[in-house]
Amino acid sequence: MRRRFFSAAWAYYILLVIFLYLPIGLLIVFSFNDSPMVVFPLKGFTLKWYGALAQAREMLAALRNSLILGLASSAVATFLGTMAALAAVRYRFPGRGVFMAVSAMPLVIPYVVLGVALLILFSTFNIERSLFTVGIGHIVINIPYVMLIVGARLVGFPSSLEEAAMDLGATYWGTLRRVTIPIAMPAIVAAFLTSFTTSFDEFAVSFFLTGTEVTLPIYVYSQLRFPSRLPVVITLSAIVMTGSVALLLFAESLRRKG
Amino acid sequence: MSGFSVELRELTKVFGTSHGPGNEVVAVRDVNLGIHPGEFFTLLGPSGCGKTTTLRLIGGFEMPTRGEIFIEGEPMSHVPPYRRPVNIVFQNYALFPHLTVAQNVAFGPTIKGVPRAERERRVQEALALVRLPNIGNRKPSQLSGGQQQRVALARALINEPAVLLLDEPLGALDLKLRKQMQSELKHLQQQVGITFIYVTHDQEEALTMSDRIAVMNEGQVLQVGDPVTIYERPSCRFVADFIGETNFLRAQVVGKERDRICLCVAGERVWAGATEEPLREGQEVTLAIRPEKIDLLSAAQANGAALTGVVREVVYLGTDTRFVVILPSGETVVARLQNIGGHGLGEFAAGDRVKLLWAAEDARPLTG
Ligand SMILES: Nc1ncnc2c1ncn2[C@@H]1O[C@H](COP(=O)(O)OP(=O)(O)OP(=O)(O)O)[C@@H](O)[C@H]1O
Ligand SMILES: [Mg+2]
Repeated sequence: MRRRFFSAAWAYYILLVIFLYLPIGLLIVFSFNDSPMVVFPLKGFTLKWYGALAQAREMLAALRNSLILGLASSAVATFLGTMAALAAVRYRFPGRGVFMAVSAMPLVIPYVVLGVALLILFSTFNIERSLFTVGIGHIVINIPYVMLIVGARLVGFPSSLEEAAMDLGATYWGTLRRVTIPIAMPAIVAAFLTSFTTSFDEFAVSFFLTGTEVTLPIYVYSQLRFPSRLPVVITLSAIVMTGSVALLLFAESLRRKG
Repeated sequence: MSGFSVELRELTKVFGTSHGPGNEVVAVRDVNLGIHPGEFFTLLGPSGCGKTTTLRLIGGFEMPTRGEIFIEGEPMSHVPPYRRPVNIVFQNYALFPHLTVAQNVAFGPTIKGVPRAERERRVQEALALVRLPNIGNRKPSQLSGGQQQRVALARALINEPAVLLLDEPLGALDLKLRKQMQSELKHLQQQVGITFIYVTHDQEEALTMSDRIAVMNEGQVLQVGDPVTIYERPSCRFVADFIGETNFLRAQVVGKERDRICLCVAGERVWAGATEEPLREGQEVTLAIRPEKIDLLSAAQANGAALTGVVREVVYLGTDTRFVVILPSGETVVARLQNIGGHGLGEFAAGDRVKLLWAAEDARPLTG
């Protein structure tokens, strides 16, 4: 009985790994494949797609846009989300429940709906669509994640630590700077990295809010109409994939360590 | 100037008003206390009686609903925690996990901008004071409970506060370490001469360590006094019951002599010590008497004013023996006799008729 359960669990796990990682593995394999057609059998080893990638100006511009957007929007989201988490976890104030619910809302609203809603908002105020508007969208998306990650960390250590700091002469700001923020730091970094990866591959909200300068996911999507560009897109995806996984593993290790 | 180190005047704290009426908890109710400089003062009471809240009010972590706190004569209502001349040792120690032991201890002086050389010297002194040299570079998570306790003490004492607040500081330690830390803490307090306000629900700890004790229940202070007064002359039934074991018997006042009172208990005349408050003849009171103050004699040895009862249970406790005696009124009385010279153990068995005797001043009539 027990043995049967374990073998079933193993089968399930192996299937999961195959479905999750096979496509990713293929991506990397095809990025080295010496053929414009993305089909088996493989032709031969080449680095020419990586070379072609270096020439793809528009794609690199999109990549640069996404990096800047990701860094800036996650920095803002991390700052605001951390402040919100501090307020929510550490202070009792009237309307705290409503505050929490409102902040967590983007978690449950479909991104498509959020995108449309923000689009309407921006056009109502005659705000030109641009990377800036996309950034606002990403900040809105990421704040709840930051709140959850940082909030979990804050809940995990007793508020008597902050009281002890104040008892020993630290002001509210001194306590924040010397005790609260240092203790929450692993979670804050993890939240930043998580926000960054979310922003970096976010599509739906970006699609509605982007202007003339596109982000990488939107550019990649637009390139799918041209089969000849597919290998370069695959190559870029392989690189981005590897980078994202490395980043997430790093974020997770930070979260565990702290 | 009151001359008190800490003075509480009509201090009251009501919690939970933000959830609307009906949910209010009066954690501290009209507490008046004056604590002398250099005193080891203990707040003693059962769980939830408001000890921690009182301490947090003094530390500035809660705002009083009513009343005022004076520390060294200064009113504290508008003074934030970080400017009060007090330090607190939290029950869970609250050591900063991201700092080393030395950095933890140096926290207060660092904030106050004490120069580095002096700071390091004071950290060494403080760690030596709590007998923990040579662990400055460790993280709190690498210390035992007793060591963490001492670091928390050093971190507070390095600031040379006028008053040190301690919230069940030994609560998390095992019994043996606790006993050892009790005497260490007491010595430390005498050595540094700082006023200690100590919270515990352990009556033995309170009795052995304190100069004075305030017994609390349901947010109120019921009695303040030195350990002997609290134990020997409890002011009310709660105090007598909470501290040590006490027999309570229904009694009626019969008459008075100079320093003793004659009572009628279970149909017999007995004597008790005089009380501060005057008692009327015929008044119903509760007679409180501790088990170890009662002596037993066999009923045959007839002897003036004494209760008569039947032994129901004999329990051997090593140093002494515990007898449960039933009175004709149905009330039970517990007596403890020391196992010395054949008296007590083996002298009486279940079913024996015995007389219960005590010195008048050991029995107290209580009205509350
Ligand atoms: N922040 C709070 N909000 C609402 N009620 C509270 C709060 N803090 C304490 N209380 C209530 O006030 C009363 C006194 O609590 P307090 O913590 O002072 O008790 P205590 O004597 O320290 O008990 P213990 O020995 O269990 O620590 C309790 O009924 C408690 O539930
Ligand atoms: Mg408490």
